Amino acid sequence: MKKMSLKIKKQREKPSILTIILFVFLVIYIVGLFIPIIWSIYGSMRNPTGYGKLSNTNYIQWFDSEEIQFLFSNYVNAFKNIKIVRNDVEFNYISLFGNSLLYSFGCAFFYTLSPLLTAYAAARFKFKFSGILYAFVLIAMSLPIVGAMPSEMKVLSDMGIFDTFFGTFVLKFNFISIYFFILYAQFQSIPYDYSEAAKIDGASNFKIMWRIIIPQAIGTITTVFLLCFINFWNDYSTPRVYLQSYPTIAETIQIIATSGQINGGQLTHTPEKIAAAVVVTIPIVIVFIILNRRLRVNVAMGGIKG
Amino acid sequence: MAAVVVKSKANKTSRSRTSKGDLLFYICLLVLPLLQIAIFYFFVNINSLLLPFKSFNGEKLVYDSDLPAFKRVYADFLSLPAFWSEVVSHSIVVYIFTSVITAVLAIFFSYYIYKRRTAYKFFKFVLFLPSIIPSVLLVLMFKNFFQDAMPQYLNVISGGAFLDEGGFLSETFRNKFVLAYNKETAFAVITAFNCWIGFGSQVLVYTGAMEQIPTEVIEAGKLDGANRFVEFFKIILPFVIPTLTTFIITGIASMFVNQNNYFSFFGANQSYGNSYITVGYLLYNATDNIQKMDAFPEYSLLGILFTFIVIPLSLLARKLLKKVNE
Repeated sequence: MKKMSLKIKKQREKPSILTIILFVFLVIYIVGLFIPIIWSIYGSMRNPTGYGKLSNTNYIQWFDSEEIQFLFSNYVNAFKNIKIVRNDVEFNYISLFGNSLLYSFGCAFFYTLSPLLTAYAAARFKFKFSGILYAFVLIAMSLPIVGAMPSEMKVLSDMGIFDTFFGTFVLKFNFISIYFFILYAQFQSIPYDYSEAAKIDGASNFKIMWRIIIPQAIGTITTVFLLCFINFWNDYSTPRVYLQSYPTIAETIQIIATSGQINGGQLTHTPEKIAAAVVVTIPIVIVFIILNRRLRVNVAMGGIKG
Repeated sequence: MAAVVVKSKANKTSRSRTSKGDLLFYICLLVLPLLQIAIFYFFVNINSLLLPFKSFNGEKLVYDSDLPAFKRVYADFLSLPAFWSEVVSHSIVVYIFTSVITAVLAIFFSYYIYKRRTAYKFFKFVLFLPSIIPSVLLVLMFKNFFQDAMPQYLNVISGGAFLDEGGFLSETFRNKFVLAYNKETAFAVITAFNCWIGFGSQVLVYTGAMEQIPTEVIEAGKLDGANRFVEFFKIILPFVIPTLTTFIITGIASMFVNQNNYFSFFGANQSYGNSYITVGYLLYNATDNIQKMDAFPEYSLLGILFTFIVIPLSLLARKLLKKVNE
């Protein structure tokens, strides 16, 4: 047994020059990524004097306990004091979190559902329109319409659903996205034998979709949903325009980062700003840590050959 | 014979019922998504084409034969060299840099993860992290570190060349080393930042594409004596090119739409007198408020003009990439 395991060990590939170079670049990238993050979080636990000391190259002062106090109170105060007033309505951290959750979940659900329905139809049914649909998505993604936002806002306003969650969900019920191709590839890869066997047994089309095909594609569907959820959670540009009466956490971070004006006052000190921004980011990081295995499921996508 | 004919007719009826059932289900699947596209793609874009012919009369947008939107767009944007040399060129340069650099890095790093090398799971987790953390928070941390700390540390490493008097760098450069808040360096800094955080989700997709490569193809290459470089460039890369093509073409489509984190860095209301903004930022900034309806015809027209610039670019890119794929 021991001899066999030794043999197996010897058969492992030796790292090539290419992989060694890539390893070095990856380490450099990660160091470059983590240093500002760790530095900022370390700085956010200090008073302004202590934060200023971090810019000093006398490294002893970074850890001088007489002059520097660790202030977790920056985080406690950020959680308590983050408030945005919009149209005379005050939103504290809990209500901002609620707005973000509703916006992210709803938009992710509809942004996943629309390509799911259309990709399923195009991939599993060989009508001529399926080819037209696929080509249309390809063309629409390749040929953009720049500056349609004013027209979109006008249409939503005329329909009476501008500045509502429902209006935003309707806007996101859109299948012109890269996820259409991902789900199309997934549905196409499932053998048609399953559907045919189910049909012979008398199953309806809905039953085939719901009980046979979707369970087989649930990994990809869940990954697409999670990717959409994370994107919408971090998106401040869309709610800022289309949900002006319902500020979200992402918008709060954007206000903190650019102007520092929040809760009617001002976050003048950089440690306070960073602490406030980290507090509003914590929920999505927790979700990522719990669900990162699901996100790391590979998503394959059929490419464009031209 | 009659029995065969009857059976054949019965089969035909059963098949047509099945086809009708399939067709009905097919229509049910597509009706709502197509309705949404009819309103928010076709109608919105047709409306977008008509907006430039309107003007705001204080209450609503009405057709105006004077075409004030056309005159304002020409006077405020198209006739000014700074608009083309600064705003438009910045959009193109940002796209080229971020597409090329992020695509190259994403493909190489995906190859490392595909080959399951040392700590590949950790790298996969970390490479995706910038997609999870809000870009605004990353901007805040990036700005603070590179503005407040980096100059001091580089000054120590370079023996005082950056900030001290008598250093080997020129006075001009020392005074300008304020990164994102300095007009001369802001554009380069923001472009570098976009490259730095821009390839996390691409790694996920490229790794997926590499996983689709049949193992027999890799083994056949090894049997024929292909080394790692040959394996990467002759076997792996051709399989990844269609996915790369998709990213390039969709990237061209968003060249003048994305505001590339400019809003995260500088917030609203930066005019194009500041030599670092892009078309995407300009359009987003101008139309982020329904109360600015009087400006809608002007910016809608600007958007349409850029659509007519991007469409031929996109078609040209597809044609060139088709030749590469062949």
